[in-house]
Amino acid sequence: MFVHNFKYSLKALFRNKTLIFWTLMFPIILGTFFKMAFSNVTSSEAFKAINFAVVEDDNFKNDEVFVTVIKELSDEDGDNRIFDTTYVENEDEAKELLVDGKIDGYLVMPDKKDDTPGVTFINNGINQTIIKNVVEEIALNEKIGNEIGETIVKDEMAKGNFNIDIDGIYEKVMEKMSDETNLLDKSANKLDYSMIEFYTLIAMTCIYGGMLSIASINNSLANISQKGKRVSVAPTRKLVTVLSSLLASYVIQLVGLALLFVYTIFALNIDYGDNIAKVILLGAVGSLAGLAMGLFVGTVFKAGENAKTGILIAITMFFCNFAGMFGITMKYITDTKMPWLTKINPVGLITDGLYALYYYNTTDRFSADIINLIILTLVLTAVSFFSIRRRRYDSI
Amino acid sequence: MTVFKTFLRILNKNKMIIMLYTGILLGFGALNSRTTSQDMNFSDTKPALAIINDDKDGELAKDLVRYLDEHGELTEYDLDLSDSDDSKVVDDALFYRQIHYLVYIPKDFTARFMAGDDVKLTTKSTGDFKAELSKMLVERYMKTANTYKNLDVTDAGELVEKIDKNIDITADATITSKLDTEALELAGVYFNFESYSILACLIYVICIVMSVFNTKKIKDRTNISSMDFKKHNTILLLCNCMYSVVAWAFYFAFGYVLFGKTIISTHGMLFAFNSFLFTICAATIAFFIGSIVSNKDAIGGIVNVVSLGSSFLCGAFVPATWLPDGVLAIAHALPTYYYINANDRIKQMETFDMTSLKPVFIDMGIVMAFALAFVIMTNVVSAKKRRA
Repeated sequence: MFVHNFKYSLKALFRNKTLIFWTLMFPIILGTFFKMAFSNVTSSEAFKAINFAVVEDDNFKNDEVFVTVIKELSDEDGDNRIFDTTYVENEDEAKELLVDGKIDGYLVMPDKKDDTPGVTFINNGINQTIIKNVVEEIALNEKIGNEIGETIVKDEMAKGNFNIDIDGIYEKVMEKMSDETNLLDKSANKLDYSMIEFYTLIAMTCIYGGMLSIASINNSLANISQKGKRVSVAPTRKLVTVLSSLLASYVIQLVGLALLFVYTIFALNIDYGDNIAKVILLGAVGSLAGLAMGLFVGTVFKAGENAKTGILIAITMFFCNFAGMFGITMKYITDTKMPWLTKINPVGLITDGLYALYYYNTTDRFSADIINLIILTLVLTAVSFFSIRRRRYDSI
Repeated sequence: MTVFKTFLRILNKNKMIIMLYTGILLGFGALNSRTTSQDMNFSDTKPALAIINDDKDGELAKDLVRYLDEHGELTEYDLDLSDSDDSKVVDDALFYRQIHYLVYIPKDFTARFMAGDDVKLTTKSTGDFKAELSKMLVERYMKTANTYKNLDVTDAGELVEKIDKNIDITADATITSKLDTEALELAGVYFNFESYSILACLIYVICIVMSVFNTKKIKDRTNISSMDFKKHNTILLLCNCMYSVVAWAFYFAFGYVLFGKTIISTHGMLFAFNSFLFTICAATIAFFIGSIVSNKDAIGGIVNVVSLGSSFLCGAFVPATWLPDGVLAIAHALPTYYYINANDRIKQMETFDMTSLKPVFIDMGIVMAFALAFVIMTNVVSAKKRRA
């Protein structure tokens, strides 16, 4: 009986086009949209040379420090490149470039050497702040260099040496001016936060799988469907029909998830880290959580199939929000300020498990997520079974 | 009246879905709105960075913290980086871009630095513009410290004094724009996102209404009733138009609640006019889809694919400037692209003369051309259906 019902449940579910669209097709379509929209986000935010202009008048040409340093910072082959610099003859040309959006700002050197250099922007912003900072740093170095030079000259003169060797002083100044920053960079190399979008997509697909268990459980509930009435009067144990239907929906869920994994890995180049066995384990447990979620909604809420599916979608989207699907900051806030919500949020747990496998070398966080998911699944399943066991109808 | 009443009844039945799409827009709008105050002076953008200071008594360390706090949004963590749970706190914050740069000052940093040891500040960076700015601040401080140390300053207190005296040279920064660019940017983001809600709400409702009225039983009853077929269709069309205008007005009103005076300006009026034209176009798209789809179960899927697809591809969710060229090339075939393009132009407008308005009007014209094309296609499809 188990095999018989399993086979027909499988057939019935596969023929339900709406269900197959939402559980199998929609995640793939949404994943494609995500890829199209997010593939450039990280590279757009990565630091690149800033478009900048310099008014190359006599004031600028006479300031050797600025001329040299800006040339070095604009060198395309150099390691220190910060600017993509355009040299213009007068301020009007620079203004035109600024208004046309070709540069973020421009530099005008002051008439008097001791005055501060002037930078002009259209508005405030990060690129503008960087330009201002760099100009300030050059001015600072120039000032300190002059100070050192003056001290050396004074010292020489105090020693009675009035024959000043300019090149010698320059060399001494350069010796004292330090380039040492005492920094040791230990940045992580996997920092692509757009991955979170795809992880929430996997998690959403797992929980959307609950639609399948709703559909199959409805076929066993006498108060919901005609099929349910027939199944109820059949001389089979309810546990057998329910379990075989649920197994059929779980199989379809896994097929859908496998398709999505294959598609995201090979067509969309999504990085799930190096531990693919653990990713599969998480997918299987996550799908089970989705199945339990569908079972819970299907048995606890007394409503038609469409309403139940609507409730499941609403709950899933609510959870997706806190898992970071509509902005990763929400996931961070939930994880740090309301960790209890992540612990009862299956979408959040699956997303976090995938994130842990991608970003961290250790598996403690992943294991905690899996254990929480299993507990959640057991609780939801227990509630559902208590809700449908021993249900009898005299008339319906 | 019967038609209008039925229309309202269908609307009422589907209120949850309408509220959902509207709620998404309102939630998104509210999250993105913040009070902005643009004065005409330049103000530095302060990057979010974090520091872990294990040299709490060291003067140089203390001064570095002070300097970074002055120039950035500094978070000071009291964590042990060798502990895996503690280091996850900062790693998470970096991954989710809550901080862009982390500086770790090791124990006895000041003493070892003054003694001439090769002592390092460990850093972690997100590699973006804000991280680069944070790095520049730390580098500027440390280079200055090293230079003064090379000048034989041996006391940490004296070194800090010299650094503080000199490090804050400020360039003379001016900004030319008279616009409150930040507020306009946020309003632009809101109106771009609105394209999603308008498309989703309109396609969903108009398709449902049309599928109900096109159900065979109901259609047959309408056909044999005394009501004129044309009158019936006109009322239905007016109902849908009224619904579209109400939806548009509601979204605009909410925009006013969020952005206030930014909306009541020439910029705001242009945004409103642009979104009104887009609403008309969305209604014609909805009519077209409604005329070719008769299966009620398929509507949910179509609404999501069309609205999410055009929003992702055209830059309603992610700024169009960040989209790959291939995606933008496809987006050119969709009306949403021109609507968003017009919004992006409007928010940058300094003056309203013919030269600056012309490209906006061209975009608006293209949106209307799409609307016209959908009307023609709808007519062709329904004429074919009637004959069949």
